[in-house]
Parts: sequence; C-alpha cells; structure tokens
Amino acid sequence: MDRKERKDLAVEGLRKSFKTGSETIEVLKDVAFTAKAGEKIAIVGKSGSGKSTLLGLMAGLDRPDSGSIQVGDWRLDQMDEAQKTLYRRKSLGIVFQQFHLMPDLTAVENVLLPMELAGRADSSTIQRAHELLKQVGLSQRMYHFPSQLSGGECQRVAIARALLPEPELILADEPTGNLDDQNAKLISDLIFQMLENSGARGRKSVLLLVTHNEQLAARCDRILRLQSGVLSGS
Amino acid sequence: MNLIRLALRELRIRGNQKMFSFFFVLNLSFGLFAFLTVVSLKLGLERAISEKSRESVGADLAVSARRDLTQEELKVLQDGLPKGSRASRTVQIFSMIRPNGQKRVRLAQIKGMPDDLPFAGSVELRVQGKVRAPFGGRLGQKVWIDQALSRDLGIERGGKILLGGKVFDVDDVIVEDSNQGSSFSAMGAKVMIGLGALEKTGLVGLGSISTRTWLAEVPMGQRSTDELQKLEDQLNQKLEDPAIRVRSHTNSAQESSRLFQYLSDYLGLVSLAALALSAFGVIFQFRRYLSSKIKGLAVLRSLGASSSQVLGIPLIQVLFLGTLSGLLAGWAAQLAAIPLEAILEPLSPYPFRAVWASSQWVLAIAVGTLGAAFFVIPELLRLLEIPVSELFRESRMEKESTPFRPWAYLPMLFGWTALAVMTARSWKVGLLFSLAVLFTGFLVAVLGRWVTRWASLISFFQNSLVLRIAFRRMTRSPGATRLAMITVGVSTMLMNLLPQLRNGIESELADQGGSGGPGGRPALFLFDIQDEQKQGVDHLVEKSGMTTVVSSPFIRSRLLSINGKAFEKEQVKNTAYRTREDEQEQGLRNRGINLSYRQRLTESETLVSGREFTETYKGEGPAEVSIEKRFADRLGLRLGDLLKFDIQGVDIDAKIVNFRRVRWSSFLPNFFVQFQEGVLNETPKTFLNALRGPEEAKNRFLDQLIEKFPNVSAVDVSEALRIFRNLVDQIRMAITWMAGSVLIAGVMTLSAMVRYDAASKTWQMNLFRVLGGTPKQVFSILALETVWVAFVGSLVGASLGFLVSFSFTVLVFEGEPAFSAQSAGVVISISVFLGLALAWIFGRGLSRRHPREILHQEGS
Ligand SMILES: Nc1ncnc2c1ncn2[C@@H]1O[C@H](COP(=O)(O)OP(=O)(O)OP(=O)(O)O)[C@@H](O)[C@H]1O
Ligand SMILES: [Mg+2]
Repeated sequence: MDRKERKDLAVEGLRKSFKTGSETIEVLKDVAFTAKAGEKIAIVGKSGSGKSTLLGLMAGLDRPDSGSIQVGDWRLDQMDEAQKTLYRRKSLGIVFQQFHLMPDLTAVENVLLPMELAGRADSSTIQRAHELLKQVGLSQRMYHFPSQLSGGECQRVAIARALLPEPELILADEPTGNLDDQNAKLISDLIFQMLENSGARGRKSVLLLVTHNEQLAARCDRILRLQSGVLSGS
Repeated sequence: MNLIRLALRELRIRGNQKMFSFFFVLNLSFGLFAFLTVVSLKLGLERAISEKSRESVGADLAVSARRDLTQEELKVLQDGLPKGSRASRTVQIFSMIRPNGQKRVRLAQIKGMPDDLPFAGSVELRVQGKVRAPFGGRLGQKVWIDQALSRDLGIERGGKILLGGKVFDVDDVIVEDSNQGSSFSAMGAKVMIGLGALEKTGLVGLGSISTRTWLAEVPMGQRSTDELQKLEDQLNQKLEDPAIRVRSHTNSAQESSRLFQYLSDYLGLVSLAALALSAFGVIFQFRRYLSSKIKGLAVLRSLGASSSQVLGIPLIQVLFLGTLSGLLAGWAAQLAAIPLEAILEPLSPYPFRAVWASSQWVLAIAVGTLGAAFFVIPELLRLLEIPVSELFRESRMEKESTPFRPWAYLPMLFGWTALAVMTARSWKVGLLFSLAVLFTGFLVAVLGRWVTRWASLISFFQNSLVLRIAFRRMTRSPGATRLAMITVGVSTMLMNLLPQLRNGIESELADQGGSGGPGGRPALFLFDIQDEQKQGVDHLVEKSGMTTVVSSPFIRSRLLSINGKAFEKEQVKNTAYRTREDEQEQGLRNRGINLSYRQRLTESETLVSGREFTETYKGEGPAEVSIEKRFADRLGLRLGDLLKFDIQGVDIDAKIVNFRRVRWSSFLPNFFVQFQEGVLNETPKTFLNALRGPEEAKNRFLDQLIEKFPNVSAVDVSEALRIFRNLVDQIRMAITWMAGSVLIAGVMTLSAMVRYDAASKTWQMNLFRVLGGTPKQVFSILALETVWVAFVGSLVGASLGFLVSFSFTVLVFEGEPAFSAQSAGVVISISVFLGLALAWIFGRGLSRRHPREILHQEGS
C-alpha cells in the first residue's frame, strides 16, 4: 500500500453472513469507508441491520467472509488470534451498552485493566487513570466496586477505560442506550469532551459510535447509515 | 394442582433446567445409593440372624461355662426353665487329632454330642445326606469331621483318627452345619463325636480350654424373643458367677456376628459421609438454579403471588427430583448389593443375602424427598429475605449479602446426625462422626477464607494480573469458593480417616480370637500344658530343635471387687436397640478373667504409666498387678486401685502399679491382668507356651507331642495367620469400596461446582478477552482458583483427618492412631491434580468461547 495514500482507518468490500441451520443471513454485503485520525463517525441503522456485527469485525472479535480492515498499521483480516489480542491491547478501546466492567475489580482497577494486560501499567499510567476518573467526576468513587456504582457511573468508568490507552480506534455500541436522558447527555458530553482532551496529549483516536440517538449522531463529524448490508455516507 | 403442573412443565421444557434436573438427580441419587446399599446388607444380616439363630445355636437357650455347673447351679437352671422344657449338655474341647498311622496333625475343636441333642438345626453329610436334629444318637463311638479337616488330613468316611490316644472311625464328612458356634474358628477345624465317647478319652477336664454348654428347649408357645429374653435375664441373675453365660439364641447370634455388624456400622457411616458430600453438591446446584430464576420469581411476587406460591414451584420441583433420585438410588443399590454381598459374606457367621423389601422403597423415597427438601429450604428462605425492590435493580444482586440463618440448616443437621447415630448404633461414634464432619466443614470454611485473604494480599504485591483477579474473585464472592473448599476438605478428611477405621476393625478382630502380624512371631502356640507336664514339654521342645519364646502360667479367676465395691455381673439390657458401648460393657463384665504372673514385660509389651514391679512378693499387703491399658480404660481403673480376685476359691488382694500396652498381633501369650512373681506360684495352673523353630522341627515336635501329651493343644500360627489375613483382606475390600463412593461423591460435587463456576464466568472471561486478555490467561485464572480450592481444602482436611483419627483412637478404638503423612500427601496431590483436571475439562471450553458473544450479552 502506498505510504502517502494510507488512511488511518480503511474498510473495503467487507462481507459477513451468518448461517443458522439451512438459512444464511447476509448481514454485511459490501461495506466500505475510511476515516482519518481524530474523526468521529456515527453509525446508525435499524435494529438488526448489522451495526454490532460491524463493530465486532472492527474489534477483531469476528472474521469477515471477505474484504479488508485496516486500523493504523494493523491489517485485521490477515492477522491470527495472538496478533488480534495484541491489537486489542494496544490500539482498541470499547464502550458497551451494558457497561461490562469486571465485577471484582474496583473502578480504578477496571480502568487500568487493558493497560495491565498490555504490561504498560507504570506509575504515570496509574496517575493518568486517576486523572481520567477525576475528569469523569468519579474522584470519590475510585475504589468502589461496580456493584456499588450506578449505571451512569459504571459507564463513565467504561469510558475512562476505553480512553486510557489512547487507542487508535474507539468503538462505542450504544453507550447511552441503557441510561436515562439526563445521564445519556452527561455521558455523550463526556465522550466528546474527553476525546478532545486526549487529542491534545498525543495520538488522536478514531471514534466509531453506534447510536439510535439523533442528537448524539449529529454531534459527530459524519453519519453513516447501515441499510441492507451497505453503508451509505452523508 | 396448577402449581404442580407449572413446576413440572418448567423442568421438562427449558434447557438449563434439564441440566439442573440431571445433575441434581445424579448427585442426590449417588449419595443415597451408597447408604441404601449398606442398609440393604444390614437388613440381610438381621434377617439371617432372626431366621437362622435357633438352628445355629441348636436350642432356644444356651448356658455355657468353662467348668461344670455345681449341683446347686444345676438346680437353679432346672427350676428356672418353664415347665415342659428340656435341657442337655454338650462339651467342647480343643485337641490335636491325627489320622491313624500318619504323622500329620491338626488342632481341632471337638464337640461331644449327647444322644438327645441338638434340639434344632441339621447337618449335611457327604454320604448320608441331610440329617435333622437330634442327631447326637447317630454318633455314638463314631466321629464326623468337617470338610477342611477331611481335605487337610486326607481322610474320608471309613478312615480312622487318633484322638487322645484312642482310635475312632470316621463315619462321615460334614458338608454343611447349621450349628455354627463361634464366628471365627481360627483355632481349628471341627470334629463331632458322641459325648460318652469323648468323655472316655480323658481329655475333658484335663485341659482348661473346654466349654460346657447346656442347651435348653422351652415348650412351644413360649419361644418368642421377648419371653426368651426375659428368661435369659432371670437366669443370668440367679447364676451369679460371671463365668456362666446365659444367652437366648437371638442374642447368641448377635454376639457372634458382632464383628460383621461393627463393620457394616462403619460402612454405613462412610456412606452417610458420601450422602453429606452429595448434599453439598445438591445445595450448590440448587443455589445456582435459583439465582438463574430469581428474576422470574421476583416478577411473580410483584404480581401478587404469595410467598408460598413463589416457593411452591421450586419446592415441588425439588420434591419431584428427590423422589426420582430415591427410586434411581434404590434400583442401583439393589444391583450394587450383589458384589458387596460377596465381599462381606466371608466375614459373617451366617450366609446371608442382601434384602430389598418394599419398606426400603419407602425409606429411599423418604430420605430422597426429605433430604432434598431439608437441603434446599435454607436457600429458599434466603430467597424470601431479598426485598422485592432489590430484585428489580438491574445492577447485580449479591446473593451472598442476604443474611445467613444458621438455624435453617438445623433440620438437615439433626436428620443427618440421627441417621449417623442409628447407623453406627452408638451415640459416641455417631455423634463423634457427625461432629467431625461438621467441625471439618466449619474449620475449612474459616481457615480457607482466612488463608485466601492473606494470599490475595500477597498476590497484590506480586505483579501478576492473573493471580490478582483469581484471588480477588475468591475473596469477593466467597460463597462458591467456601462450598467447594468444604467439599474437598470433608472428603479429604474422610479419606484420611479410613486407615484408622480399618485399624480399629482389625484390632477388634484380633481381640476376638485370631491375631497376627509380622515380626518374629512364633511358629506354634501351645496351651493346656498342665503344671506337672511343663518339664516334659520343655524337654520335648529342646529335643526336637524348637525354642520356647515365652511360657506363661495361666490361671482362671473372678474379679470380686474394685476398691471394695462389688463387681457384679451386668444384665443384658432388655431393649431391642443396643449400642456398641452396651455390648462392649457386657462382653467384659460377664467373662471370667484369666491371669498370669511374670516379673518383667515381654517383647510385645510396653509400659504406658506407673512403675515396674518392685520385686518378688514378700507376703505382706496387697500384691502388685499390671493391667492392660484398654482393659483398664473399659473398666475405668486407675493406678493404685485395689482389686479383689477369687482365685480358685481363695480371695487375693492386689494393687495396680502400672498399665501396659500389648501388641496383640505379636501372637505371644498376653494377659489383661498380670501379677508379680511370688503370689500365685503355688496355685494350680496350666501353661501357655509360644515356640519358634524351623518347619521340620515343628512337625517332628507335633508328632511327639500328640503321643506323649495328648491333652496339650497346639495352634499352627501360620494357619491362624492365613485365616486372619483373609478376613483383613475382605475388610480392606469393603472399606475400599466405600472409600471409592466417598471419592466419587466428592468428585461429582466438585465438578458440578467447577462447571457452574466456569459457566458463570463466561461473560467476564469474554470481556477479559475483548480487553486484550489471552485464552491462556483466561484458563489460568480458572485453574488457579480450582487448584487453590483443592489445595487449601485438602490440606486442612488432611490435617483434620489426623486430629479426628486421633480422637477416634482415644475415645473409641483405644488403639494406636493410624495416620500416615505419606498417604495424606498422596491425597492432597490427588486432590490438586483433580482440581487441575476439572479446570481443564470445564475451563477449556470457556477459554475457547468466542468473545464476540459479549456484544449480545447482558452483564451479570
Ligand atoms: N452469531 C450470530 N449468528 C446468527 N445470526 C446473527 C449472529 N449475530 C448476529 N446475527 C444476526 O445478524 C443480524 C445483525 O445483528 P446485529 O447485532 O449486528 O444488529 P444491530 O444492528 O446491532 O441491532 P441492534 O440495534 O438491535 O443492536 C441480526 O439479524 C442478527 O440476528
Ligand atoms: Mg447491536
């Protein structure tokens, strides 16, 4: 690939289908898009249109039937499991609709977990984890366990966790879907605000945000619509 | 009705419910199965005793003594029996016999039978076929010998044997004898002869080991167990001498099958332990099951269902599964009883078959349903205590945080302890056992928690994420960890207890007549050597190349009083249900006491407390005696106690100066009570000699012995040892069988736990992988947890096994603690290995799961 033409994120001819019994569901038929570092992209689409499936492919959790995914220097479609694990450690941050925190780790430990897995939890990282938690307004909750936190608070921890490694790509699958309006607003403000901040520090991340929330989508640089297995831009 | 249908349909329909039902039934039915098997064997023996005891004794009542009854005593007996009763006397002696004109000899138990005996039973003869009682008249001057003797000596009908210097014709060979007598005739084969002929040999009365038994038959209509028991009590009371024993046929059979009963009691206990382990599994499964259904139940409650309606569904399900388990276990127990029967039958004096009656189905279903209900009620109650509002919070529900109500477990505990006491037929053993299991569970839980906490602190300083996550999980949600540790701990404790059990039973066996063991044991054991024959025998020993290891004087006596308090013959308690302790007490009190004297200890004895004898008795004050430790414990004797003995009509006072422990397996003559030299030297007595020497010297010696001293009996130690070893092997097999069931129950429960644990972690481990964890790390976390549980659980369990084994020794068996660090090490290693294996089996799938599931999963 030509060095100059290289995009920070490029997806081409992505196909994915699922077999259930004798039936084959074609979820993604020909998905293609590119993004530059620092870009914030919203992905919208009806329920069942394949948004989560796309994110799964982007996270290296699933293998496409065909097509290529390139994130920074990583070629996901050509990597084996061990490489994908490395990719997730180093270059990926995820925020889920269901928060998904390790229940037996405290807030700050949860934030640090990906860095620890990558073996990069030095004292400056720990310091930054504390800072991030302060930024999301949880300075009083650092040593609490997820069961002691509210849903909104859990999601704030998850955001800090996704941001700490300054990944090249952040995937968010309906991060506000489980929250009330007020909390949803708070969380989306935080996501955008912190992405700006992190930009100032070093690498800029690409954000892929799946949402049903029109307002939230509108705050992104671009909105991509997933329909009948194809991604169309606006 | 609706509720029931709802409950049952739920079990049938949903996949994870089916799994739950399957494992619940598997776990519970296995626990029940071991218990039911033992019950069925015990009932089999009981039935055999009740059906065969009369034939076995040959009468309704047997009065036996090692001497002839006096005229007064005979009159008491005559008057004590109901009108229309008959009584007659048999004599049993031990003597050496030999085929006429041959050199081979054997010790045999010779039974002199009068014409009118026995009153019941039959013998199966090789040529003449089945002969019914009374058959004494057919014997006359002829003898019947048993099969073993016929084989060993090569004599058949028509052969001749030499007995007490006289020649007798062998009339037939006994194939089967309903008249069993004592349980372990390690002392020799059997010969039956007319009583008159036996008396003419002159052997009776010469030796000391001859038993006279008056058999009595009471008129029809007065033969019920209760009436015979009453008669036995009355006669025992009137015939004061402890040397005279009166026994109804039922009690006599009970006594002779005592060893077997002890064994089955202990097997029963072990099977109860397996049941307890299964209970842990069942509780665990149920807890998981409930937590998967908790939301649904909460919804029901919020819709206005009463608590009984909410609890009704799971309770009905459990009762249904309990019934199913009971039926399954009953069916399996019937199958398993067959091989176990084969293992145990040689240990029983009676041929018996395992019994499976309809009442056992009732028992199986009752224990199955009640057990299941008892196990799950605490869990159900916890459910009620979770406030409904709490149930609706999407955030996780910490079941552990609901209050722990120990009393909810009480019914289960009481039920189990009651079963243990009943099974062991002993308060002491049953309670001790139950306490041991409870205490182990408790300590494992407490220590396990504590150790895990410390380990988690240490792991915090270790820069290992895997370690930290594993320990954090265990300290944060200790419920599952605790239960698994208890399971491992209790099974390890029990496994380490089994050698102790075996030792206990073996020492019981040694007490009952046979004894053995390695290490310089003698080749021959001579008894009934008369005072005036001693020199001659010694001479013969020397001449034939044998050596005398020990020669002990043997004197009969009665213990009259302890510290001035009369030592009376205890009555047999008139209850249907007698405990081990009762039996032991009676066994001791009713026996006359054999004494000896000797200045120093033999090689098979060690001093436990007190001092050695000063010197030869000087004729002033009480004589010094040494008492065997276990004997002293049973009678509650202390150092310095004063004992009064009646020794052949003379009262002799003695003071206890020491207690000694005897290694009975040495096969050297040993005595409970030993006097110092100089007190009894002039008393009429016989001698017991233990001889050593090579095989041909032994044969040469025996050849001469029977010629010169026909009344002296010799036991071939190797023969006795062989019989003893066989019995011990049977016991080992039975115990191994039971150990296997404990192991299987433990493994079953543990694997259920690991399986559920792995399943409950799926989501977490998916997350872990999405965040960049490797499958290996995922597996390591799970393996670390199971191995840690297995290690700590088995370590604590094994240590407690030692403690419990020690207390059983002190309180029950009165032997040496049998605990080997080596076997404990093996058990711990096995347990750790099992932990690893289970982690591998159930964790492999987990680490291989596809982490993309996380995108569609709800958090826990
Ligand atoms: N592992 C799978 N096996 C079979 N079908 C699947 C699998 N995963 C997803 N699908 C199907 O693919 C389609 C897309 O699913 P996906 O979860 O990507 O939808 P989505 O756009 O995220 O919907 P939502 O907005 O409801 O979250 C659905 O029809 C779903 O049933
Ligand atoms: Mg989705």
